[in-house]
Amino acid sequence: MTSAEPPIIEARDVAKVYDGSTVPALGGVSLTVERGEMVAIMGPSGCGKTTLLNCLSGIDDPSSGGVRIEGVDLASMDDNTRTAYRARRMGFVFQFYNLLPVLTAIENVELPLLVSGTPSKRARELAMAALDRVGLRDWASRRPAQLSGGQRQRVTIARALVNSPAIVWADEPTGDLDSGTADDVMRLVQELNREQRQTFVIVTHDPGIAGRCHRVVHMRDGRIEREERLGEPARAAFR
Amino acid sequence: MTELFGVPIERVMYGVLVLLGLCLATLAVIAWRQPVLVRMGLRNIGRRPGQTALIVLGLMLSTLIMSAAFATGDTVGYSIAGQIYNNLRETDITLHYDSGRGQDSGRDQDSGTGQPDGPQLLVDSDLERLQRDLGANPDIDGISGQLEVAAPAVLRAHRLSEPQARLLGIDPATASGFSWLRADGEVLSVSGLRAGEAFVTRTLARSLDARAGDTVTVFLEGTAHDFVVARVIEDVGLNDFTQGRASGGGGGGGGKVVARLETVREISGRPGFSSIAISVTGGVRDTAERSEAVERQVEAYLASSGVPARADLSKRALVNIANLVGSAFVSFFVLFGLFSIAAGVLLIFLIFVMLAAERRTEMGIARAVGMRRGHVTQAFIAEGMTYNLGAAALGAGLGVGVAYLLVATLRSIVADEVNLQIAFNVNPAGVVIAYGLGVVLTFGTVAYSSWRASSLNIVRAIRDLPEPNPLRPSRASLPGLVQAALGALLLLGWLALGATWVAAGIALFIASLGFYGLGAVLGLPLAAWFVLSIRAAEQGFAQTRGWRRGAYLVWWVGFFPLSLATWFLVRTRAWAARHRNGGGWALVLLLGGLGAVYVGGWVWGQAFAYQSGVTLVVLAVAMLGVYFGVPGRPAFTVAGLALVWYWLLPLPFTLFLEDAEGWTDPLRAALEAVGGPMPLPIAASIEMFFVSGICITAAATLVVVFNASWFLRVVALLGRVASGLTPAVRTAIAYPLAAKFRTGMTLAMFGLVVFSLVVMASLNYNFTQLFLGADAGAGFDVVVQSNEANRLDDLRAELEAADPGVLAEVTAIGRISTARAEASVDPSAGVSGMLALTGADDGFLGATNLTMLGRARGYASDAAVLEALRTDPTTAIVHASYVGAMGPPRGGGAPARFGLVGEAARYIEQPWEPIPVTVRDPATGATSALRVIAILDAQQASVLEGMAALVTSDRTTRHLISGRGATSHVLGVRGGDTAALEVARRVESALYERGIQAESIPESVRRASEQALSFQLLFEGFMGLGLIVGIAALGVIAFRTVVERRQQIGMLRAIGYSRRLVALSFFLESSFIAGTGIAMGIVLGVALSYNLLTGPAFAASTDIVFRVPWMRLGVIAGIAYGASALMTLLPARAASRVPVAAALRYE
Repeated sequence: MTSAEPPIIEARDVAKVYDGSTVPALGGVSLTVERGEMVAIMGPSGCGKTTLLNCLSGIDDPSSGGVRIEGVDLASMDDNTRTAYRARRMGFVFQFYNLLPVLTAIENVELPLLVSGTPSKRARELAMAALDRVGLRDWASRRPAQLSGGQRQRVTIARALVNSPAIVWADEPTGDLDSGTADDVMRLVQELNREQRQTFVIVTHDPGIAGRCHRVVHMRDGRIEREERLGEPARAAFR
Repeated sequence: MTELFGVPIERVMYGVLVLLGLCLATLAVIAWRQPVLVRMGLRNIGRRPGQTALIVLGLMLSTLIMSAAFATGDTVGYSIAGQIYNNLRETDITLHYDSGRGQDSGRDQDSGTGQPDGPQLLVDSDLERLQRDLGANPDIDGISGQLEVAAPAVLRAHRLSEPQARLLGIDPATASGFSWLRADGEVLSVSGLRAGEAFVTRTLARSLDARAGDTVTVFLEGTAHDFVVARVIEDVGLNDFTQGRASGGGGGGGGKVVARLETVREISGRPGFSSIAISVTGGVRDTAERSEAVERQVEAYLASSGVPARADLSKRALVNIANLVGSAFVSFFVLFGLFSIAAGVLLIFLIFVMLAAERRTEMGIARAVGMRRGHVTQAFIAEGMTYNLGAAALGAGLGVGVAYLLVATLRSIVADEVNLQIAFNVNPAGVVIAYGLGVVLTFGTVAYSSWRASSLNIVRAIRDLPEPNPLRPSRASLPGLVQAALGALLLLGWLALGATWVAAGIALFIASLGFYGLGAVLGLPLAAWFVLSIRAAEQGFAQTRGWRRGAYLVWWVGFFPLSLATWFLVRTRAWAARHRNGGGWALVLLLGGLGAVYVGGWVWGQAFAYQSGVTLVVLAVAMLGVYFGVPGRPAFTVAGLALVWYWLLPLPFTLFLEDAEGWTDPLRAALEAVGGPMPLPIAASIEMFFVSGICITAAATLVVVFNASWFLRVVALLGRVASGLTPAVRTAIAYPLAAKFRTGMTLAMFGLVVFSLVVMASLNYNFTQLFLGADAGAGFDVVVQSNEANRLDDLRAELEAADPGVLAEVTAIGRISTARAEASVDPSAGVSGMLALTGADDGFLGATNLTMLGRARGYASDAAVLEALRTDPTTAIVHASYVGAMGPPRGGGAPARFGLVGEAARYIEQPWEPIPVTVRDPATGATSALRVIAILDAQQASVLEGMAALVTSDRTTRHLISGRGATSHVLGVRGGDTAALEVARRVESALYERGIQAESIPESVRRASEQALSFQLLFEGFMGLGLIVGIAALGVIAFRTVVERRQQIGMLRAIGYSRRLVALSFFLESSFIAGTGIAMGIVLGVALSYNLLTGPAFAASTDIVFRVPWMRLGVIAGIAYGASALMTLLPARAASRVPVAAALRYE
């Protein structure tokens, strides 16, 4: 995928050393992601995939280096500005769903809208539309405990997409699902990426998942080992 | 303090120590067999110091309250006993003249031993006979006589007077064995006094500001006698405790001037002894054991010797009474601390339920890899006991500190009113009991909550799936319900068996103390054999071979019933565990409740069983409804509302119906309507205050928890008002709604404590308003009291002579004289007995504004009643406290107290025929026939002592009580309260040489109100300790939820919740719980207080208008909410600072 637009994500020499550790979790990673691109980050356990995703999305601070999102340096934002920015422009999908167990599916989905100031009535309409989009309209009033793993992950996706974010960060989105359900979820992600031109950054172990992306970034020991741009035939082969 | 609830304190302590030993033994067994479980518990303690601190705080509060109660009671008992020892010194038995024996021995009033209107005295020959006949007794080492007479004292140089002072004469010849007179540790004797010198006791010296060298003047029958103060000595008095002077009561606690016996005899003209002291061989404090036998010997001697004396309460008896007072304080504080203790137990339960919830997954894994249910329980018990042992020690120590503060406050409140030196004292037995009870109580709660927590489904626990509703079986059926009830009953059987063995073990242990370990020698093998025999039963008796089989057989036969029960329980254990469920417990509850209703209503006539039974039945019906498919919300809402209504009856009917006070028992009403068997009259006592508080709060909590979504809609309005708050409100609402059990427990804790505080505050406030209100002076502003030895009969004349100017400020002068008299009344109308008879002069009756609760036929208004009292000397009014007599006292002995029979309502609601009463002077035998024509309102004239009596015209009482008892004058004053103060000052100044005391009534009311308020705040503060439980509960929950929801907080932060929003969400959540609990406590507390104060028990004696103490309730609510908000701030802040990325990784 090529574009004249500036990259939506631009990381330069991002390094991260956790408190109390001498081994860097990230050892100077530079990466750019174009708008509408689906990028998979792969690598063995402990190679720094999730740390990179956290630093790119602004939920963790790199020890050195810089990240620009939509041309804005994350380091220049204070916590409140960055939080508000996340609420408006980013969506998150986690491996263990991270839904609030005490809220119903629709209440979970409308949370990001309420946070960004959308009136309650409008938030409810948009949340229902998002659930409809992932095929869960009829399950809107169920709590997470009453849903299957796949349904929960779809609620998470609906929540990630409900405020039409520019970027969706997904950390092992299918790690807790069986292959059939994982396939359904990824098909959904691909559709959304195609239709709404949202940027997806997906951390995964699964080559099958990575194969559905435009590009695969391979990491090892906190560094990018290589990048692989996948054309349609390659993506088909992954599948 | 030697007893608690009637049981010797040492025995209580040993009992508690045995229970404590059992708890510790359990822990020791766990530590020995499963050391890893103890290690796990110890390591958890250090993991989260803040949370551990809160848990310790929660666990220690019950111990703290008990320890504080014990130490306060000890202090009070010890101080009173100390005062008794100080005043009586070596005196163990005090003798006084006995009129009955005097008449028997032919001695009468003309014997010259006393004045015609004064008390009779013993004489020198009596003392000589006592010394001759008892002096040789080796158990008696001293007999001495004293003469004490009332003698108002003044110190002219300081213009100070003390109308209640007394003059005491001591015989130096016989008093050498008594150390009555002491100063600065030195024992003094009156033999060292020069002519015209006397000692002055510390109390009198304080009143007169007297020092050595000052001249004090005492008045006897109007004649002044001067004494130079040789030295100020410690208080002394043989009669102060038996005649109510030590506490500054009616007998006067003004202190004494102490002189030589012959001096006092000479100036008083009374050549006798008012009392003779007998000292039992020994010192001041070590004669109690010997004293009882000597008391019997002296009593036997007096009965046969002809000495006209009777023995008063002995020092031993007085010290026993002091200990009883101390015990009463302990009981009082424990009773009022029960709400806090109950809240503390709930908190302990909640803490362990939350710990279990936190570790549910790991417990599931542990069970999956082979840990048995018992191991899980043991692990929790080990952890709980580790907290418990330290927390209880801390609580016991802090309780002593709290008691110290309580005592210091008590001391400052009563310093001016009570002549009692309060010395802080702690009996180690009390602290041991508090510690032991705290540990045992916590152990029981932890054991139960651990057992409950260990009952988990392994798969659901590992996958963290919700547990199913215990009341909702997959298939509900009647046979299934009966099976479940049998399962539940079998579990109760296990508990009963366990209790039997524990009781047997304790008995064995106690027996072994007496048989030098025989119990242990025999008991331990027997216990081991018992365990083995259970194992044999478990494994199947048929498999046992050889000698064991024979031995088991002997065992089974020897202990057949117990063994059979054990065998049956062992064999049915698996079946019971399989079939037990919530429905079964509901059925057991229903049957238990019905049994309690029957026993309480038809056998005992007792409120506790009857009303608790009704409560259990209602709850059980709701549970059974849920079992058979009724949704939980309507079932428990209806049950909760029904119980709130039941416990608050006769509300709401009393708000709009005149005669609804008796509508308190719907079951009785229903049975009456259908002609069913009626229950007995139900009697309630003080424990119902606690029981009703628990039941009413629990019922209201059910209603709130199952309908929280309605309450939360109010909170949700916040979100509408400020749309930025919507997400915080959304999550703040969702969590309490989802965790009903946790929310309910915290609500109940808060509600319970606030409820108790509100009831206490409302009762205190209304009592203060009632008895210390504007009507307390009966329409007068100044009261002038004179001493019986220097009586003031005509105040106006005296003032005209001394300071005529003050009369210009006075609008009215009245006189009331009061003395004890006997009253006879027809048994159908009342109980004959002693009463205080008051004669009021026309000045009083013409100016007073006394109001009546009820009037006899023919007296249409209060004015008509007062007019009748003035014009018809045969009329009288009776104070409301004499209405509702229960009959003569049981067991004889004390004379009956006069009273009119029947409910007060009978005298209030409609006119009645005047009640004839005959009053008699017990001294002279003179009588008067009176007719009671009205009932005096109790709140009237509460500061005028004479008004708590039968009041009539002084024309009637003149020949009955003339020359006896106390006389007071009351003055109406022109101008306000300041004028009353000034008139009182001027009257006292003008007549100070008469030893009178003048006080402004508004000022007395103000001082009494302040003192009452201080007492009230002290008790409310003590009860407020329970608030710490509620606040700690909120803190524990808030800290716990931060940990529990760490990952969710990370997610919220990731999707855009700002730190402020996260903190706000936590804050609103806690505020909802605290606010609802406070509101619940206030509403229920005010409602119950209304019932209590407008119910027959209180309305009988006064016309009450219930007032809500809004200001005080506001303070209670403010402190409760403010403290809980502060407690929540820390965890809320911690939640907002959770690092997002780290939280998302948290598992």
